[in-house]
Amino acid sequence: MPTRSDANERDSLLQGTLDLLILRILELGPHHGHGITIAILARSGETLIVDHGSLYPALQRLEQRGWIKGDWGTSENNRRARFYSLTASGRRRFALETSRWNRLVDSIARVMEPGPTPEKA
Amino acid sequence: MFGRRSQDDFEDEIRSHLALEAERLRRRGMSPPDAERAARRAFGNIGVAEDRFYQAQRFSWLQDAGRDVRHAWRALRRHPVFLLTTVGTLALAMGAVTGMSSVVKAVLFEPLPFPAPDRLVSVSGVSPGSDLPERFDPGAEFYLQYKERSALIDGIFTGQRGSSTFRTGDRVERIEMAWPSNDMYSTLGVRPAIGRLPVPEDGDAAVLISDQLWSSWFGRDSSVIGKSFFVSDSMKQVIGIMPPDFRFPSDNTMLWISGEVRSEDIRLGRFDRPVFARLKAGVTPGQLANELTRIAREVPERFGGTPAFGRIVQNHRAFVEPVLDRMVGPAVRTSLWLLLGSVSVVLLIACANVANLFLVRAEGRARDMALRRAIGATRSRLVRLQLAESALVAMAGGVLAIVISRVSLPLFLHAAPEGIPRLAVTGIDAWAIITTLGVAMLVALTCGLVPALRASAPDLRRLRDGGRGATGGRRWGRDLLVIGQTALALVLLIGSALLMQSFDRLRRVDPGYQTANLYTFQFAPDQPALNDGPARRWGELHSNVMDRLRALPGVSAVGAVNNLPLDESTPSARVQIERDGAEVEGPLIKANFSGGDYFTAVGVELLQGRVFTRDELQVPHSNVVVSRSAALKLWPGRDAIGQRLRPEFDRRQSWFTVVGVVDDVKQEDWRGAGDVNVYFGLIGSSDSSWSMSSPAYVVKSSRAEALREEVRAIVHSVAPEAPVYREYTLDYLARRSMIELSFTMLTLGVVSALALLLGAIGLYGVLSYVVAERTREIGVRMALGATAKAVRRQVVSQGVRVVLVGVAIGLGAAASSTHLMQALLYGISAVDPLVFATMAAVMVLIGVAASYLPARRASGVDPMVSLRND
Repeated sequence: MPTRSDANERDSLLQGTLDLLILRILELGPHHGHGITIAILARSGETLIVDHGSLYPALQRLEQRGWIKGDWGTSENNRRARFYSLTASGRRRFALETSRWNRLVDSIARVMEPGPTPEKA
Repeated sequence: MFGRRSQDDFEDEIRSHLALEAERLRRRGMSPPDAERAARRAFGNIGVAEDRFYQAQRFSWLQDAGRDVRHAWRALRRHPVFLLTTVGTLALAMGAVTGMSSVVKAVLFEPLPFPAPDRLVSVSGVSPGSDLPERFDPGAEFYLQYKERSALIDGIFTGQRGSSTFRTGDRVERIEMAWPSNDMYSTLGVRPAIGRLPVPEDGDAAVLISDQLWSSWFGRDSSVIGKSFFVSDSMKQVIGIMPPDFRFPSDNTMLWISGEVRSEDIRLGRFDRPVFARLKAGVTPGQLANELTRIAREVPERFGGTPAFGRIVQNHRAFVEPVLDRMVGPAVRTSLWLLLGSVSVVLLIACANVANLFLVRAEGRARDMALRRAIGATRSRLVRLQLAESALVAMAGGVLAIVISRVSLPLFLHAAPEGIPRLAVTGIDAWAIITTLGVAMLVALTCGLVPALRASAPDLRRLRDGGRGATGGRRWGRDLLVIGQTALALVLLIGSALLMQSFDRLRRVDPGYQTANLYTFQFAPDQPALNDGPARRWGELHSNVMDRLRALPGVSAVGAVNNLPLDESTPSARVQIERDGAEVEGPLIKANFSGGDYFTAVGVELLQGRVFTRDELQVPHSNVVVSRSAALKLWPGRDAIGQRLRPEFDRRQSWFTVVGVVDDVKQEDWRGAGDVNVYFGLIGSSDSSWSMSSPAYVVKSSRAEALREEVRAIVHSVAPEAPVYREYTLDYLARRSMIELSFTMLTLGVVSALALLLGAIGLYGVLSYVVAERTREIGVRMALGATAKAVRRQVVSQGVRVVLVGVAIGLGAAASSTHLMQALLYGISAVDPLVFATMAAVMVLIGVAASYLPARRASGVDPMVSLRND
């Protein structure tokens, strides 16, 4: 049943990416959940719409792993909201994930480059 | 570390998110209601978010469990057959266990309703090598010795029980009563609810009555106190009424007659009085037994007695046991434990079956589980879900079991033999309900855990190959269950076969007399009217009754005896015998008193000499008839006819001459050897309390079943006010003497049939599944040329292999456990090879049968269909 496994991988790819995006936004400073979606939306040029239903579980997962921590605070317009910020280990994680991401993007870009496949090195 | 977040906290966060989003949309110009709706829509499914949150957090065990159960219920509801089978199997098995354990608890464990009941003990004696029974009651002389010399007791009493006449005004009946010594009340720690305790000045002229008698005869009228009624053989005054829960020594004891044991009344060596004592705090039964054994040795010194009596006392040991153990004999105890044990085994088998069903179900859902795990469900969550299913099934089974046991217990109690004491208080109480539900939880764990762990194990191969590759390890689990079931069922099967064999052999035992076509009854004549010259008056009365009975149409013989064989126990007596002209101490004999054509009526063969004549029934005489065993034991190697003996119970101390020898009969018990029976004439002795009181009449007639009214009319015409009682056929008495065994046998038979059925279903289920699982493989093999026959043989042999392992284990288990039921067996070894072999063969046959259906299905597989099959 190949389709199922595909769905599975798409799911995990998305998950991993969402985690990286969240870490990236929080690296810029603390944000509440809503703020994170807005930030992602804005920085992606209004292309990436985060499914809110998966945002909170992701935040929760990151919090459980100790990469981010959440505290209740007051938002810019005086609403009570839960603000998330990177922890020290979250920072280390972000650095790691970023370099991985860059490697991945780089390799995919090479594959996508036009031209013949080079001889085996 | 950080604490868990609560669901509320999370919901707050979502609310805050929605508010922020709505605000953003409003700022962009949306109307507030639209903004809220849009925010909600943008968020997606809040429930899903919450659900995921819940999955990851597991913050609240209870709410968690609630969700699991709801989920499990939805899953189960989709498979009603599975649900019904599992719940039904468990309910039946647990219901049986609940009912049986309630009976066991009531009969064996419910404390007696007295203060500190654990300190109440019964004292009896053992004297190896003597002619006394294996366990015998002490005599009154021992009671007095214990009472005066023991330092370890807080009270001691003795007493006798029996039935006698009670008369108030025009109502006369035979009721059960007891003759305890007055210290019973202080020893047990009971007081009358109304009235006073007996004092020495009362002599034997005072009675206390039971609450039950007070209700049924006197309408709970307190003015009954102080009044006198005819009880047993004289007028006695009611001095008190006992509380409702006082039922000692038996449930049906209605009256307690006052009395004390005085040393001048004691006749030595009768060994006929049960003795009960209360231990001082901290004293163990063993310590008391040692002390009583020691001080009993002084009895001959104090009271005298024959040399034989002295020897018995020197060799004897006091045996001290809890009163409860004494009230419930070893046969009842064994039966009850056996039944509880076997229903528990059935429960085990039922559990194995249900676990099996869960395993099969788990296999079927393996792909589903693997998928859930792949998308992030934790293993513990999946295990919990599965456990919730089995818990739901087990709890439903438990609740249903309580209902079943409530309904069936009264039926069981109704069918149970009369002799089991304390059964009256049996009921399904809170304890039983709590235990059942506890057992249900245990069952849920055992049935659910293994399949749950297995199904949730990370095994992504199942995703890949579509869940087909059942591995050998998994099949082993099911094989083990089948092996266990087979072994357990075989143990039960062997147990019940042994009981059936015993029963069959007992039924074939020749009791030495006929029970067919015999009607028996007793009546209690108005004794004060017989006070004038009692023996002659009694003789006339007996003759009169028997003559009239004999005149009934279809009656061929009429006799009378004080104790019918296999009925109530026959009194033992000591005798002096004359042997070669010298007087020697004789053995303990069974003292029977008979008259009329007793031997002819019950078909006891006369071997030598003669039986009593008609005249001997009416007048006191000094002749006896002895049984063959008695003749052999009393006068070995000599002709018994003309020999003489002198019973200790005869007040005149006169000698009796043997005029006849009759064949042995089983007087006390089917299992016993020939009893040493000596038959005195009904009017043979001067001791009226034994010989004349109210014998059992036996009437031989082809109309035995229908004589009741005619007999009553005759008694009424001879003794107008005498109550007639114990009206039976001898067949009934014979059956009743075996009822304990037959009841146990029947129950165990039903239980083992159930075990066999469940075992077969288990095996069938496993093999069916194996076949279904291997459809593809079998199809391939058949496509490659395997014949249907070969496939069938292979499937059957797979089943039989498993069964054979189970049978081997079962045989071993049975061999090491059947001795526990020794007390119920007769004429058969607890490891009888024939029974073992036959039952093993039956088990194997059942195995073959249970394998055959799946095998036939396997051989019917169409190769092409199975290859296309997914």
